[in-house]
Amino acid sequence: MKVAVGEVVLPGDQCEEISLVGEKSKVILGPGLRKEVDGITITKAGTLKKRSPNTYWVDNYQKRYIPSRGENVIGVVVQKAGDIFRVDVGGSCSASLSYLSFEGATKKNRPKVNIGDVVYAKMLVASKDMEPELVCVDSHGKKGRLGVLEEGFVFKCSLNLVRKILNPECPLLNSLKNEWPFELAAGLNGRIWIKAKTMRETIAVGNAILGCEYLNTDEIKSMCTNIASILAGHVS
Amino acid sequence: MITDNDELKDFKLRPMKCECNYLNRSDGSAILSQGQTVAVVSVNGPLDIKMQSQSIGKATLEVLFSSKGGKPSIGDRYKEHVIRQTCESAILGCLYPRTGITVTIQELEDYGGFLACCLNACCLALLNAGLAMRHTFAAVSCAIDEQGNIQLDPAPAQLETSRATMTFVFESREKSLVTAFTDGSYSDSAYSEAMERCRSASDLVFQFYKQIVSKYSYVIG
Amino acid sequence: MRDIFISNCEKSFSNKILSEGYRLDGRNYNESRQLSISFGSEYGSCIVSLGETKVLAQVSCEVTQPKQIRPNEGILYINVEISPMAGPQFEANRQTDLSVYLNRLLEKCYKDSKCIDLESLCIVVEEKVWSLRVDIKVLNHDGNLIECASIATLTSLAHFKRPDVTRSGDSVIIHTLAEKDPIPTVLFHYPVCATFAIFDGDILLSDPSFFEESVCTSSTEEGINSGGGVLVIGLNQYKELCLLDHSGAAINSSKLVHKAITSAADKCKEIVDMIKKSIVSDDTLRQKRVKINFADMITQHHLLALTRKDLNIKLKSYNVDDNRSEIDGMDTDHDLSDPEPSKYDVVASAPHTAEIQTKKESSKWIEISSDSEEDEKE
Repeated sequence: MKVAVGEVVLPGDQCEEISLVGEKSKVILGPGLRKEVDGITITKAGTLKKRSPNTYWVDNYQKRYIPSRGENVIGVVVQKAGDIFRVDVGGSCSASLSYLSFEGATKKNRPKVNIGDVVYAKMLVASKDMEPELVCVDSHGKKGRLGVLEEGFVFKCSLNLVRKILNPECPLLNSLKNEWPFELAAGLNGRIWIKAKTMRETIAVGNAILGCEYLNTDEIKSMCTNIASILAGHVS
Repeated sequence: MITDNDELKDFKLRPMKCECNYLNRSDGSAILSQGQTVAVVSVNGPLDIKMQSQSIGKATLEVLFSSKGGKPSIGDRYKEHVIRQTCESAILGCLYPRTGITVTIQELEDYGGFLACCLNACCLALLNAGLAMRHTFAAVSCAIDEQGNIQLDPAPAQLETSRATMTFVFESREKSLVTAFTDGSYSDSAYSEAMERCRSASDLVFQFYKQIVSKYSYVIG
Repeated sequence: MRDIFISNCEKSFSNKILSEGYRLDGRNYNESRQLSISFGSEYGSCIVSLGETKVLAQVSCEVTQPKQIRPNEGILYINVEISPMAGPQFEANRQTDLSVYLNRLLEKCYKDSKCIDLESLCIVVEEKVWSLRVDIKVLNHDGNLIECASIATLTSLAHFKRPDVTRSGDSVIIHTLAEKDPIPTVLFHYPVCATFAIFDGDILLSDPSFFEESVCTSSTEEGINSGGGVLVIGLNQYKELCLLDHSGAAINSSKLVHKAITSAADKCKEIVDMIKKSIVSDDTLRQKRVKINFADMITQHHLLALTRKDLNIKLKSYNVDDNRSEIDGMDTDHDLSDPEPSKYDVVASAPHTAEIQTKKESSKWIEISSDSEEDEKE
C-alpha cells in the first residue's frame, strides 16, 4: 500500500514520496523505515513523520528499548566487573560503562559508583551485533548532566511517552514548571528520573508524566492544573 | 473498500474486537475476538536468551501455545509450529541478532476459526510490541460443506457439517500466500476458489489492523 | 528466571513515602486494587483481574479411579502455570520457585481446608469418581499473584458444573449438558487468600503491587533484609483461618499478625460476597439464554482500552477520568496561550535534560530535545 507523510502506516507499506526525494538529495531514514531494492518500506506501525529538510521516521508505540547510538539513557548498575560497570538499560543485554568514562576519573581516582546506583549516560557504541557501551562524559571530557543520579525516584514508561514529553510542542513540562520546582532526567530507554522537594511533589510529577500518555494538548494542560490543585489542597 | 472483483464481493467475516496492550507487563500484547472465538497473545523481546539457543544471524523466535485447560497436546505443538513459521516470515529478525523473541498465545474461547484468530492476534501483538516487520499478515479461515459451498469464517455449527476446513494467511504487500493449513478432503478447484475468496476477505482484516493502529497512533506522538 | 533489579533510589524512595503514610499508587495502606471477574462461555472458566494482575482459571473434570486410601472420594488437582505471558522475566516451560510456591499455597487453601465435598464426587465406590482439575494460567503478573489466583480458583470452582450421571446396574451413563442439567460443585465454605506486604516490621500494606512486593522482599545493600516480608492469610466467609504463610524477615511482634488477620477477615468476607454475587448474576443471565463469552470484556472503544489503566504512580485524589470528556468546556477557562510569569525557570543543561531554577531574569522555555547527534558531529 502506498502511503504519505502524516498517515498511519503499517509494516510492508511503501512510501514513494521518500524515494522520489531520495533521487534528488540525501534523505535520512529514521526508525521504522528501511531501504529495500524496490523502494522505501515501512517496518513499524504508527504515524509517518517528517522533519525538514529530509528526515523521515515512524512514531510507534513501543516498550522494549533497542540501544541506539547517541541517545541519553538511564540505567541501573547491576554489577562491577573489573574495570567496567554492567548497567541494565532495559535492552536485550546489559551495557558496559568503563570507570574511566567519568569526568576527572583516572586509574587512581576512581568514581564513586555502587551497585544499585542509577546513572544517566550516553550511548557511545550501539550496534546490533555488539554489546552497547555507555559514557558519562561528552566529547570535551565534561560530565554536563550525565553521571550518577542521587536520590529521587526512577520509573519505567513506554518509549513514546519519553519522546512525547521531550517534544517541545508538548505542554506538559511547560505547564508543570509553573506549578512547583522539580528536577527531571528523561532516558530514551523508557525510564524517567524525577526529584522534587517533597515526596508528594515527586509523586505528582510522576503522576502527571504517566497521565499524559494518551491525552492531547488541551487535556494535558487541564490535567496539570488539576494535579496542582490536588497538591495545593493537601499541602496548605 | 471492497475489492474490485464483483464475484467475490459477498464475503462477510464475523465481527472483530481487539484491545492492544491488554497486559501491561509484556512488551506487546493483544486480545482479539472474532465472533465468539477469543485469543490473547503476548510478545516479549528482543531479550537475552541462553547461549545454546542464540543464533548469530537473526533473532530466535519462540512460540508457546497454551490451551484453556488440561494438558498440552500434540495439536498444540503443531499450532505452535504453524504460527512460528508465519511470524518468522514477517519479523525482520536480522535486526536483532543473538536475542530471543517470545510469542505466547493463550486460548480463551474456541468457536471456529481459532487458528486464524490466533494468527491475527499475533500480528496485532507484534505491531503493538514495535518489532520491525517485513509485512503484516492476515489469516482467514473457511469451510467447504458437502455441496462444495465455501463458507468464510465458519461458526461451529457450520464446521460440523463441513468436509474440509482451511486457513490461509496472506501478507500485506502483494497479498501472496504465506501459510496454508488445511484439513479434510476437497478438489483442486475448490481449493483455489477458497483461496481467492479468503484473499479478498483478508482486506477486511488489514483494514481492521489499520483502524486499531489509527485509534491510538495520533494521540501517543 | 531473569532477575528484576531494583535500584537503590527506588528502594529508599518507597521506604520514605511509606513512612510518611503514602503509597506510590495513591492507595491507603489497607486499600485493595479494583477486583473484576469475568466468565467464559463454559462452566468453570473465568478471568479474575486485581488491578492489572490477571489470572485465567479453568476447571475440567474426568472420571477416574479413586485413590485406594480414599475409595469414596473424588480427586481435586490444582495446576499453576506461569508462562512468559505473565512477564518477560519468566522463561518458557520451566517451573519457577514462584509457581511451585503458588501451587502449594492453593493446595493448602483449597485441598487441605476440605472446602470441597469430595464425597459427592464419587460415582461408584472404589471404581469411578470425578476428578476435578483446576488450571490456573497467569496472564499478567503485576503483584499479589496469590490473592488473585485464589480468587480465580474459588470462583471457577464455585461456578463449575459437572455433567449429571445415572447408574443403571453396572453401567454408568454420563449425560451431556443438553440432556440433563449439570450439577454444581458443593462447597462447604469459601476460603480466600489475602496478602500483606510488611515494611519496617510494622507497616502492613494490603494487596501489594509488583513494585511493593519486590521492594519488601529484596535485601538491602548490606545483605540484611530490613524487616520486610510478605504475609499470606487464607480465611473463609465465617472468618475462620485456613492458611497462614509468611516469607521474609522474622516478625517481631504477634500483634502485627493479629492486626493482619482482623483486617483480612473483613476483606475476605467482602471478596466472597462479591464472588457469590457475580456467580448468581452470571447464572441468571445464562438462564435467560444470554451468551456469555470472554469477548464481552474487550472494550469497544479501543483508545479507552489503553487509557483506562490505572497509573502506577498516582496521587491519592487523582482521577484519570477528570481530564477527559469535559475538555470542550474547559477551553475557555484555561486559556494558557498567555501563561502567567513563572517563579521558576527551566534551564537546558544538556541534551534531554532540564533543570528548574528559581528565576533570575525574564526567560522563556528552551528547547530541550536538541538533537544529540548534532553535538557529536561537531
